[in-house]
Order: sequence, then C-alpha cells, then structure tokens
Amino acid sequence: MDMYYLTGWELITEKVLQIGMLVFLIWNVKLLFLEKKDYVDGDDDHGNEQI
Amino acid sequence: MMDSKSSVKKQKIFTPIFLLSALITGVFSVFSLISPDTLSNNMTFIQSLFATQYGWVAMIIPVFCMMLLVVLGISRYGNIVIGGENAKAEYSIFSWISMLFTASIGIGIIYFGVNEPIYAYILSPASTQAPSVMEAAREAMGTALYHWGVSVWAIFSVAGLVMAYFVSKHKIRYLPGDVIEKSFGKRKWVPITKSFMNILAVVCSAMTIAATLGLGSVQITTGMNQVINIDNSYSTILPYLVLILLLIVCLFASTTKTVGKGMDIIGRWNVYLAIFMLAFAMFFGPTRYILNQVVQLLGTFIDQLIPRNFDMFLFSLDPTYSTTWDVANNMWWISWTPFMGVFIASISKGRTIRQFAFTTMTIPVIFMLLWHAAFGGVALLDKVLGTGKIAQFALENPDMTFFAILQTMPWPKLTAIATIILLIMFISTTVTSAALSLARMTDIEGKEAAPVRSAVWVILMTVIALTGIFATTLGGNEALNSIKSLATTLSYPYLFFFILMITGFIKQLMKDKPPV
Repeated sequence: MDMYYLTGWELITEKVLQIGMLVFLIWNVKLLFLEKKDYVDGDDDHGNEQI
Repeated sequence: MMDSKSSVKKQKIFTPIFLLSALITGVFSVFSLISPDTLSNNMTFIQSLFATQYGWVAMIIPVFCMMLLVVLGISRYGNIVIGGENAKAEYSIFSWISMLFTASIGIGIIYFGVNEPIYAYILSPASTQAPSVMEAAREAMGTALYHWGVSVWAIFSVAGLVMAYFVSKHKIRYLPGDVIEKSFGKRKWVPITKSFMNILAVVCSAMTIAATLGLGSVQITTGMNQVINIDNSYSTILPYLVLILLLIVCLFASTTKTVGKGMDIIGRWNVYLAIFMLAFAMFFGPTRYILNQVVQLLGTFIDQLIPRNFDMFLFSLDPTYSTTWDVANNMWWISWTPFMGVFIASISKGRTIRQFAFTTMTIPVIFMLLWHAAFGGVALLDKVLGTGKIAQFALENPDMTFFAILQTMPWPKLTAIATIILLIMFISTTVTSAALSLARMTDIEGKEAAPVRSAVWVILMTVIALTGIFATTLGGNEALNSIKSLATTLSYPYLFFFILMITGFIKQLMKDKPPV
C-alpha cells in the first residue's frame, strides 16, 4: 500500500508527472476537436494534393 | 567553381540534423564505454521512474492503436491507397510482410522469443499466483504471445501508416517531426517541437538498433561456439569478428544502388529460412504437443485479447511486474517506431489503409503463435514436465536457449548453422533498413538515403555495439543492456510525440475528407 502513498519529493514528482500527462492528453483532444479551422490550416494546400 | 560544387555536395551529406544527432549518439556511446555502470544506473533510475508513473499510458497506447486500425480498416478510410488511387504496389504482400518482419522483430524471436514463456512462468503473477500448474503454463504462453503479438504490430502499423500517409499524400520529408508541422501548421510551439522530435527520433533509433546489433552479435558468437569448439583465446575476440562481418554486410547492403530489390530478396529468404526452421521444429520436435499447444495458445490468445491488454496486475503479489515487463516491452517497441515508421512508409506504396490495418495485425501474429508454440512451448514443456535444463539456460545464459532447444532435435549442428545464418540475415536487414531510414531522416530534404550517410550510420551503430561488447567483456557488466536501457528511456519523451503524431494524423484525415 505504501507504494501508492508517496511522501516528499516522490509525491511532488508523481503529481507533476501524472497531471502533466493528463493535461497533455486533454490538450490533444482539444487540438483534435475544439479548434477553429482557420487556425488549424498549416499551409495553403489544404491536404488535397494527391488523392 | 569546383570548390563551391563540392561544398554544396558536402553540405548535403553532412546536414545539421545529421551532425547534431550523430554527435549526441556518439557522446552517449562514449559514455557507455567510459562508465557503463553510471550510465546504466542513471538510465535504470529514469526508466523506472517513468515506467512506474506512465505505465498506464504505455499499456493503453497499443490498445488505442488497435482500435484506430480497426476503425480505419472497416470505414471508408480503409480504401485510401498510399501513393494515390492509381499507385501500384512495389512489393507483393508476402515481400511486404517479410520486410516488415525481418526489419523489426525478426532478430528478437530467436533471442527473447524462446525465453519469454519461461520468464513469464517464473515471474508473472498470472502464472505464479495461478491455482494450478496447468493454468500457470497456459498464462505463461499467453503472456509470451502478448509481448510479441498484436500490440507490437499495432504500434508499428500505426507508426508506418502515419508516415506513409503524410509522405505520399502531403509530400512531407521522411521525418516524424514534419507530421506535426503539416498537421498543426503555424502554431508557436510547432517549430521547436518538430526539431526536438526529429533529433530525438534519430538518436532513439540509433541507440535501439545499436543495442539490438550488440545483443545479436553476442548470440551469433554463442551459436558459433556451439558449432565449432573454439579455443578460449579466440572466443574473446569472436564477437568482434562477428560484428566486423556484420559491418561489412550492412555497409554493402546499405550503399548498393539496388538496395530496395536487395532488401526484398533478403527479406523473403529470411522468412523462408524461418519458416523452414519452424517446420523442422514442428516435425522433428514433439509434433503432437506442439500442435496441441498451437490450439490451446490460439484459445488463450482469443480469450485474453482484450483483458490482457488492460491488465496492470493490481493487488498481485508482485505489482511491479507490469512495469518491469509489460510496460518495458511496449516502450521498447515504441522506441522502434521512429525508424520503423520511416522504413514502412518507404516500402508501402500501393497498399491500402485496410491492408495496413488487417494484414499487419494478422499474418505476423499467426506466425508468432506458431513460433511460440514450437520453440517457447518446448522450452516450457521442459520446465514443467522435463529436466528443466532449457529453463536453466533461459535464466543463466539466454543466448543459448534456442540452441539448447535445437539440441533436443536431430542434426543440432546443422540447425545451429541455419540459426546463425538466420541471425546474421535478420541483423543485417534490421541494421540496413535502420541505416537507410536514418540516412533519409537526416537528409536536408528528408527524401534521399545518400550512400555515404547510410554508411556513416552503419559504422556509428556498429561502434556503439562494439563499445557495448567491449565494456561487457572487460568488466562483466551490462554495458549492452545499458544501451538498451538508454533507448527505452529515450522512448518516454518520444511517447508524447507519438501521441501528438497520432492526433495530427486523425486531424489530417478529418481535414482531408478523401473522396473514397
């Protein structure tokens, strides 16, 4: 049980790493679904070059 | 005039990304020679920290890759042809799968593949806490196939598909970072992310292949010692001679002009030989047991397909097992994705997304199922009902396990020679495909694998493997494993990029709305 209840620097490291990953994943969802199209386009070809 | 021409040519070969990534790789390799213990300890600490904290992510990534492939495969996106609607496949399905197989897990099936059921039987809580020997053995085989089965191929397939899609459709360079640039465009964080990702991808790939090369050379040496009784004074230099032999083969293979055709031929012959070894073991080994094992393992695989991918072994007597084995295994394969993605993209013209999705997740897995039943299954049989000698090798001298299994069958010297040839071909194709991918990735335009650059990468990876073997021979320490450890550690930051790359891919697919 002790392995899941850390103290000191280990606790801080765990919280930073876990929250960091969760924020990163949420940010990915935001990038995927919650962005305006004009900001999304990286260049002018709109990805219809070939197919 | 001449000078300016030659300087342009020189600049094209020794690009900034090439110099920087080669320098970082070189520094790590020198460090691994000077102080392998320090490197190993530091890397193990960092790896253990990340594996403990991000184990849940590492477990869920292959599941997500599988789901993505299935969804794409059954949807209209499955009809998309890499390279355009009228693109013709450069290689047959068999050649394509053969190259995927030999460039990636081919080498591992002889080294780790046969040892895995033993390790799982002794260490995995699914086996150690099983109510009976029967259940323990069944779980051990299931774990071995899990480590080498669908999850690995789903990771590779997604990495390859993403690169192939962007390279063929959007004409990006053969660089993972360029996927981010294309998908996310003008955002402020894109340039730095792209550069960091590209360099990390190159360094990560080089270290991964160097570790594989070193471990493979040691195993070839073990095999050679089995075939010819080598005098002790020569046996210490044998790994170096093997490595030099591999260096020559890889240099030749990666710089020759007809490299694609050569890889195609070697890839196919590798698989022919592997199939021959498998058929030999099934016929001359305990045939009835092996066939029974195939059926049982298939059932275990189907039964465990979903739950095993989510099993974190919480509340078991060894809750660290997941971190030490399953998570480490997934991360090891993720460390292969930068170069595998580029390599797969370079050979996949004319393949549809549906083929990516379903071919890669079925044919290699069926082969692995048969392989595990025939070799790992025999090792486990010896452990549970036999003398336990093969299991002893797995624990004390894992290089030797495969050869020990062959010794239980007729003509062990002949089959040992065939295994050595198989190992040499597997390593050569892995290193050559990695060198070509790295040469492409470090090209100024990210397209051309210049022979000089390919050769430099082959030499650099060989030097790292050489230092690993040298340090291991000198101090009896684990220098090669420290390089492997380093590669796995580097795959943790790469994990973020891998996720971002998949997000970019899905976003791009939604944006492109291909008319299929």
